[in-house]
Amino acid sequence: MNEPDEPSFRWRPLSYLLVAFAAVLFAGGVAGRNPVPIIAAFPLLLTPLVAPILGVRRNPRVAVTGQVEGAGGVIDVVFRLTPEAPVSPGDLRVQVPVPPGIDERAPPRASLEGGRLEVRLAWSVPQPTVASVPLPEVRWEDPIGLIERPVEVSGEPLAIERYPPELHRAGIVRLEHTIALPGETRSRAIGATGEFFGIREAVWQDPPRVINWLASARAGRRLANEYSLDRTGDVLILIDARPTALGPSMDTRLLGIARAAAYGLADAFLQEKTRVGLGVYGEFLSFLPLATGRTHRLRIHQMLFETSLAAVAGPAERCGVALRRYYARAMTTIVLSSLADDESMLLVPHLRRRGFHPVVLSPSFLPLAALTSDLSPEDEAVVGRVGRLLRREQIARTWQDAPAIDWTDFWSLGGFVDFLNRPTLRERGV
Amino acid sequence: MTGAPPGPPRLPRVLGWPLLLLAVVLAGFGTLGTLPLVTALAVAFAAVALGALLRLLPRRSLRPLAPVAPLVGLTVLAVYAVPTGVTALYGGVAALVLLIWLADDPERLPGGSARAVNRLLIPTVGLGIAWASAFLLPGGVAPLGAGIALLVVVVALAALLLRSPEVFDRDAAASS
Repeated sequence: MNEPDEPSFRWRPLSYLLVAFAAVLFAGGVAGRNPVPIIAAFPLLLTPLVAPILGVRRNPRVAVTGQVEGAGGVIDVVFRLTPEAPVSPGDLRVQVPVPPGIDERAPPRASLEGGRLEVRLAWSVPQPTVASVPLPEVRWEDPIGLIERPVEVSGEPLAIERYPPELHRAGIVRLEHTIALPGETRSRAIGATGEFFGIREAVWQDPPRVINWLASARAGRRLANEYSLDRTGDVLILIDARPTALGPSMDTRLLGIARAAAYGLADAFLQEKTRVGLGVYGEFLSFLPLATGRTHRLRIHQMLFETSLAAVAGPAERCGVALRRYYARAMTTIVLSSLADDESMLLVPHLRRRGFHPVVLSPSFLPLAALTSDLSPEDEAVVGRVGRLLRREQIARTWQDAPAIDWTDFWSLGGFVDFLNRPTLRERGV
Repeated sequence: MTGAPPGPPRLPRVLGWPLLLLAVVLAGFGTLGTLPLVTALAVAFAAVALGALLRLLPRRSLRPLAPVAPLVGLTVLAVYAVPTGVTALYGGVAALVLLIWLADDPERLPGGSARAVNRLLIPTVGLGIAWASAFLLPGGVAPLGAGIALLVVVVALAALLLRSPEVFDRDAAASS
């Protein structure tokens, strides 16, 4: 039974057009005492009227399954729609919103496979991004396009996760000691650092240093070392989601890149059983407390999918004060901020003042600005040079309070991971 | 927002057999009218060509206007048609072919014309009854007046139903 507020079917504009022309033909026939226009008007008038009688009687249901295919920045999203009988899959109209940060590579392709409709979307991901692809909006139309009904869609939304592969190694970073117990704190968890525990089959994410090459040579297959984790610290990932002087479009794209980095970092640290907290600062702080495990990973994913640019920028001090309420001091804090204006650069000193140890990973606006620029090559070169000087000055000012990594090649974070692993060498200029 | 489908390339879809059939039927309809042959053929082919052209436009917002051109062509040819039974039947068939062409929208999956055939059965029967009533039954002034009144009622009913679509909403059976 239809719910009272459930939208029902409606006639499409073509129906009104046919009825209008039928009326014109009737009028022409009567005025000219000619039966031909009247007879010709009959099909145009009757077809819209019988369309709801011959069509489906209530809003149809469609089961949707989907998957994301492809690698790197080239992806294919495939949705398969199976309507309930007697709806023909050919009568379904599908609309899929393109998530922000993703471009359409080619027009969508649809094909009929048995009793289901397959829609293939060719997208490209120019920069790292994480996005949730919602279920498609589907409506049923009669074959002539005279009436339409909304379709009840059931299924799970898809997730697109594209971030630099080096982030898989970020989790093995030895974190600052933030646990109350002095010295080494053994954990029952198994990971990639700590005391040797045993040997296991290697998986594709294992870096070469974890592979036990001698054992692999003897066994004839890749084996990796396992270690008893010594839990020393936790990590807090903080995303600066405040609007900056760059404008909403650029801010949204930079925030998308920061979300992707946070997604990869959280996954990498959680893989090593590290407790991870997540904060998103817009006008106010949204946060997830320190935790680990699969449920926490899902919570982090959900929060990152829902993160968007704030309408109003909160003061930097508010972020420091709010963070201190929920997280312990001296915690390793990875700040993802564009550092695009003075207010965003103020965030780091305030975090330092509240006792956090921030490391700033700053996605640069320069590569994005170059992509969207319509200047001549000469002007572009001058603007690029000035932009690089400005950016260098911003990074240098941030370095007075905390290490800051200028992230320009968005598909590589090897330098950042190396820095997390060997910060002392980097401080000495190595 | 990205929409689906189209599947195969657009140009062959637009220039499919429904378009050719519509061009042939409208041209044939034109030859049965009082318009000069060249004018009638020009109207028929211009209407069809304009409809196809509008479907090929890269601007999606203009594509829904494609049916207007063949509808105008059909109206012009019908108004100038000779009032005979054969011409009237031809006009009705031309309207049905126009509906088949509408079902072959390249914005939708291929095969729309085939799926639309069963939707055209009742209009075809209605057309047959109207044509038979008008030309096969002995008629006079009174039946003509009654027919006109009936048509006015039908048009009024159509307008009423178009304003309140919930009339056609059916609740599911309690046992289902």
